[in-house]
Amino acid sequence: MENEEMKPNYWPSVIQAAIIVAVVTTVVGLGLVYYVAGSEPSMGVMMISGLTIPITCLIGLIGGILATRSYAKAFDITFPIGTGAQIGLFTGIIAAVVGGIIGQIWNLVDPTLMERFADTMIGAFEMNDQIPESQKDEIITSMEESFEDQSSMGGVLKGIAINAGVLGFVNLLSGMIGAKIFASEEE
Amino acid sequence: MNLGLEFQNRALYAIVFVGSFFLVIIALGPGLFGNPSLPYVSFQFEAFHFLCHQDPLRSFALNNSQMAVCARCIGIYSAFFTGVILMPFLVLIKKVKFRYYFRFLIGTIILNFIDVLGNQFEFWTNTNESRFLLGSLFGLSSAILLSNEFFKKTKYRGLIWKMKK
Repeated sequence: MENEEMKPNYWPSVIQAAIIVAVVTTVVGLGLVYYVAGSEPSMGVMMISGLTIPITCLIGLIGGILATRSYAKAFDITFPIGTGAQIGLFTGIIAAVVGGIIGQIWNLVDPTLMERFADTMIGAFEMNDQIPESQKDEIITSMEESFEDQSSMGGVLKGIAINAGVLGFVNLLSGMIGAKIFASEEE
Repeated sequence: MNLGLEFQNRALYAIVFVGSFFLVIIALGPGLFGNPSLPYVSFQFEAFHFLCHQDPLRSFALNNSQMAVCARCIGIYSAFFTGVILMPFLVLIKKVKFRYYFRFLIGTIILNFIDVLGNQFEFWTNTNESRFLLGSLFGLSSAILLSNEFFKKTKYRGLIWKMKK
């Protein structure tokens, strides 16, 4: 095993893992948006369990594991969990940014997708008779404002920043776990 | 007071502790702040849309508002945070070798997979409570896997006890 003080460059592993996470999560997310946008408005549309396979949960988490594993195997090294945390953090942040960029590119390919999605969601909510009319109007207005806000440049950047924070942190955790599993000295 | 514990990687532990706390707060969703809201329109839902399917049928509600993550995920995050709090106590109670923690982690992952597949192929129907429980096991096992990296049992405690004797 090489000495960890040599510290080979971990960025190729980070970028590779970030792209995998970004592509997989964005494709799954877009699939879901298409499904909702192409459906008739009903509360059933919002209950999407038929489409969303439960294991899609946590795909975003594996970036840190993938990156630390790739880094440790590529250079046959051991490193502390602090380095794993760093690798995971960068992987999550880059995955969020790349995912945001893919989403924006897809908006150019299909510019009406998010509009159709918002219409279906609002339509489904309007049909819900369990909520009093007075509250419904208020919530629908706030939904319309939120959808508008999310499609503006500021909203997109805000979304990327929020995702970068959360994905960055959860991948920091998975990066530590990855470092512990793939790159720690035998105890 | 010497508890017989050596605390290492302190900055990283602080980041993990504070970060996990906020992760749970965000995952609890807008209902925590008494804010009824629907998926896709609050920052809490946006924060987790890469990480969770956020299916209303598979999520708990807080103050009549769906949580930002499903039952399994809220189990994972809350148990992970609990595990981070419990780390020093776990190390104090008993030193466990990494390979046993690792087996526990793999076991909980397999359990979750079996649960998901069994439900998917209709061998059984899982509930939000069972998803929460299995998710919690995974979250807890992930946290305790790291416990020896932050806390180490020192020999001083035993020595002092022996000297007093």
